[in-house]
Amino acid sequence: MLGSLLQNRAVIAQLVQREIVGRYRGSFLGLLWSFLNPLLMLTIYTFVFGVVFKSRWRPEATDTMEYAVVMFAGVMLHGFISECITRAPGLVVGNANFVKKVVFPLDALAWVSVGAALFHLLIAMVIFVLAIVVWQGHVLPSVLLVPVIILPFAVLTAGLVWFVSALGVYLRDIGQLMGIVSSLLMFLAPVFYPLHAVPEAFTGYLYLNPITFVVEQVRNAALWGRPVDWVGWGIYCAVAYLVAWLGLMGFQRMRGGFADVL
Amino acid sequence: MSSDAVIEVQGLGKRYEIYAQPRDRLRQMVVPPLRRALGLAAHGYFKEFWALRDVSFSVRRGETVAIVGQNGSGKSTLLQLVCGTLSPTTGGVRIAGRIAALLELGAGFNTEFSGRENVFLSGLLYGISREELARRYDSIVAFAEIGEFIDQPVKTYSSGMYVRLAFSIAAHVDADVLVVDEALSVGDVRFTQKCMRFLREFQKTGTLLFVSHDTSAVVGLCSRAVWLDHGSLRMDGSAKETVEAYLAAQHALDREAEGDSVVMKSLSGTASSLPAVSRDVQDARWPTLREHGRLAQFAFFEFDPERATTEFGAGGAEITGARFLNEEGAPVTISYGGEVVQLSISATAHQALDNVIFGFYFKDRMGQRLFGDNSFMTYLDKPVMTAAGDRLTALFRFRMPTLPVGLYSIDLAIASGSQDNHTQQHWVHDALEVRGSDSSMKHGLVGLPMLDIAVRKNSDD
Repeated sequence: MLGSLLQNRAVIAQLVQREIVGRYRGSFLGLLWSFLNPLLMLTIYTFVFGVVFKSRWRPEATDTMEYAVVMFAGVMLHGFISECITRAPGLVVGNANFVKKVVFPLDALAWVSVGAALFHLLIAMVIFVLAIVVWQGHVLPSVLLVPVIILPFAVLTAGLVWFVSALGVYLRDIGQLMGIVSSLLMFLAPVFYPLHAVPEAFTGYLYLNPITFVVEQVRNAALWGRPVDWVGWGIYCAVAYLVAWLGLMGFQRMRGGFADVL
Repeated sequence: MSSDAVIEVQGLGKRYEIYAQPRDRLRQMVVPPLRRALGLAAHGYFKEFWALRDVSFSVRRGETVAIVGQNGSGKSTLLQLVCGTLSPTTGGVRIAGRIAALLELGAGFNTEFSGRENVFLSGLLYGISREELARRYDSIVAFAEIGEFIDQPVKTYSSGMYVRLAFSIAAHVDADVLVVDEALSVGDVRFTQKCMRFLREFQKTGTLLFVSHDTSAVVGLCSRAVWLDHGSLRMDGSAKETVEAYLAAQHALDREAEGDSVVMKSLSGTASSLPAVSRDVQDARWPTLREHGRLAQFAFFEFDPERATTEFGAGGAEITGARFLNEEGAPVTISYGGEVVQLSISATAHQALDNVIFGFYFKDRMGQRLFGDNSFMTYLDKPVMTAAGDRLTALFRFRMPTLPVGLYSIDLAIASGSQDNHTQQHWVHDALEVRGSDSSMKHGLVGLPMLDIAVRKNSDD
């Protein structure tokens, strides 16, 4: 799994770079959009939820920014996984040339997709940190733990991409399904609401959503200054590795027929 | 086999599973194993089609091998299996060294990417480092002659530009094995020539696998050819023999469609009743010309039915003899470039034929057809009819061209019908042999007698 990542790093780097630059090619502001997009979203969230709805994450909170910043932590993580899985069904299909015309390390495509999404997540995190500074006037040093917390999340996502992209070759319906899955992931995780607002009976189920654990820990480290649940993180890593392994196995098993279908 | 083999194809087979719907394919992956696990009978959700079946051959280092065959005979499938873009159903392929491929139109370009990005991406896929690519980049672009379009997305390229870029990349990756599939037919003449020059240079060190419908290119470029017929290996031999056999079979198929039957047969033991003409007549001017030592000399060999390798035809007529005559009509065995000679072909009709056509091809050692002609146009208004048993002689009077030193051979044919739609009654490959020697001609395939050669100074100062 990591072997494919290391072996093809030159190709992956080239494709990720192209993926990032290529998305905004031809637009006037170019790469600036990947910075402007999340910034504008954060501004809108602050206005709608903070000013209009007067939503408060904690009942005792008084300022308008808190809700937007807390929620943004969830939104950026969801944005990452959503970008990966909604594009996954077309990942192999859209690169038919790589399947049929050349010997291409097809499993590297998932890393390309994850890599490009990680870049966007990185920019969103920069904005997240800036927002914290604006809100609090300072940041906690434990914010540096956020990349570590996110790492298994990215690995798990890669696993999902492998599986979905291979399946998407045979079942074109997957493309339609992923939009709904993406919405489910957003609403069935503590993105817009705090976990303690969920009835006790459902909290456990919410942890089936890969976002739930990660977003809670990111908030602990970056916002609340609470300790990170490292035991939980260890378990999460194991699960993420298993998902990635299964995803890659599924991908390798299904790839034999790619050239025949495309 | 030998450790010298660069490409080794063993019992290769490719079965396509034809599914009515893509989801049946997924069902096939899941259901039969489950049913077997449950002890139930498993049945397939597909119809099978063998694109390639039990093909074995090996290519040694430095060899150039062509793959010929009709459309749909499995040529492209074979190449894709060799390149590893398809996985075989049975057997396997072993490749020693780096393989570069030009399959169909262009390599695996991402059409959204610019030419530059594709150069780097393709290069990386071939395993060339980024630094090395940067070094070779200018040379790649120069060879492809893309110019400023290199920074435009590949989807905006013309098919010629596309294939030029693909070829240029493949030419710059130091491949041990190069696989070329019909790619050269797209470029313009100049680029094709450039590619051929490259391929000829590449042949000296590398191994080339070449697919083309251009049989003269196959014969000119390749030493060996593999003939695929409906997915099976039909013949594996010298390029010339294989192409001849392939063309003969193609002709037979064409005629079959028209309702004629054409049989392939080996010549051994037949047509031996022919009295060989071997009167040794010397050209009167020979001693004088010899002194000049500047003329291409040709020695004609007799028509020897035993030596002719293959023949085919419907059998309505039979070529019984052929020889060269001088201008006066006396048989000759030696001639010079620029002299008028007559090629005399005699034949016997075995049945009544309308519109008899005689023809010949003058070929070089590689089987490349240098020139040839037939009697069709001459007798357009007064077609030659035969009854069974008629004996015919055709005379082609022409000026012998100057040719480089080497062995040449002449294919003879008698057919009936029209230029475009005819039945070969009898075609004899390599019926006559001609040896060219003492030639001052070194360049080109055929030399023309020069009417005048002059060198002048244009100004006096």
